[in-house]
Amino acid sequence: MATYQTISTPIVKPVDGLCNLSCSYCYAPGHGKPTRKNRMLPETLKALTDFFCRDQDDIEFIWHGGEPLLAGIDFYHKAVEYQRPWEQKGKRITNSVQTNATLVTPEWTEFFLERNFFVGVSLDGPKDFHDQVRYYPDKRGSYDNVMKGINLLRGAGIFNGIICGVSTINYQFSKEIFSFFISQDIKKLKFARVKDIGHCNDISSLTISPKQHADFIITIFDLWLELDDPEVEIRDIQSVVSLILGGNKRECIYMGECDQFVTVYHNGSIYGCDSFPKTDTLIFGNVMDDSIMVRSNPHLKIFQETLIKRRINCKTCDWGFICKGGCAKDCYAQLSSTKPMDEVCENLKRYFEHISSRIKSYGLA
Amino acid sequence: MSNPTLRAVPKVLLQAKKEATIQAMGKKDKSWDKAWDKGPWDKGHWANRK
Repeated sequence: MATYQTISTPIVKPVDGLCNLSCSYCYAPGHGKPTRKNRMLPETLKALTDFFCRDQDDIEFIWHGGEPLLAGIDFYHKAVEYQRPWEQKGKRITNSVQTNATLVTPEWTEFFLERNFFVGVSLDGPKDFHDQVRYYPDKRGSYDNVMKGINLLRGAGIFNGIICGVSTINYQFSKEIFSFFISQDIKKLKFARVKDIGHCNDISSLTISPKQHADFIITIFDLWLELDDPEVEIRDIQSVVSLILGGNKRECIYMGECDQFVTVYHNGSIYGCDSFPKTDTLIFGNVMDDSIMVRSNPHLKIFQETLIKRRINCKTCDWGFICKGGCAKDCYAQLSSTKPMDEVCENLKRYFEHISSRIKSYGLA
Repeated sequence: MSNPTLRAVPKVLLQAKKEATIQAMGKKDKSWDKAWDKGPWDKGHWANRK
């Protein structure tokens, strides 16, 4: 398993926030075609590759957006070409892409298959729910085209699961959503709470509270247990189950190592995790800079000190072994806060206690 | 006489227990090797980690 290192896993935005969709809750809105202004240039891509491959043996590039496929297939051919010399030196490189799938074509699937990319798709459940929030700029729902893309990926054997945004539109329909995914044979799932992380638009009508999210995910856990299909993977739930059983599967939100993840924008600038989009106090440098200089950036040092204080603060909690201070964004009112928000803690504990009690009822923990 | 409250343990929990035990022992399950060698723990769907 890859060893933890600060600034080691890049979430790359090759076309900044540019997207062909205009989802209601997106935090990176931008439309139109990629131009020189918002597209990652080859020299930046080369510098990005070298920056992250130089100092570690296992590297995962997460291609994100906006819509990362807008960068074009030639961009990714170039990315793989720049990675090759590092692979020849023994580096193990993984490429993951998170797409809305509407631009997937047989040419893309062939490329992903050949180059061994992992492909995740954003889908918010059945058409009625999905189309209310994930649509084109002219408000046409994207569901039909997303499913076409998923089927292409599935046909090529390279569909690696979905992220489902949980908002006021769908959070009360956990059973319907779970049944939908199972009926579509979509069995690798992640549920992400829609929350305000500095959006351009007012999305207050779509955000759900920690309590609402806990209610949702607890119901999903019960449904998962009831279905009892080992092929169904729900990452957050399985992470908590594993940790309670003494394992070590950890979603990033349970690592307490948020400084591992950084966002690299099209111009090469390196910011903290994408949960803090373009936050001035979390800019660490640029891929063109010397990596030692970036890793000793004062903003990074302050962030790391805060993470340490948070972990220490949570050590006294019975559930600290799971959350390790929790998500740097979800659990705290401010970036500088060291004490998590009560509402978040209460509901995380309720979620952990629910899973723990169900496991104990089978005599397993 | 069997305990009426005792229920069959769900397969998903048995699998999780097995994996957790293997991890705690610091060993790799053979079926995981390919994914472990490629990167993080969860058999390739960190594609959509964020």
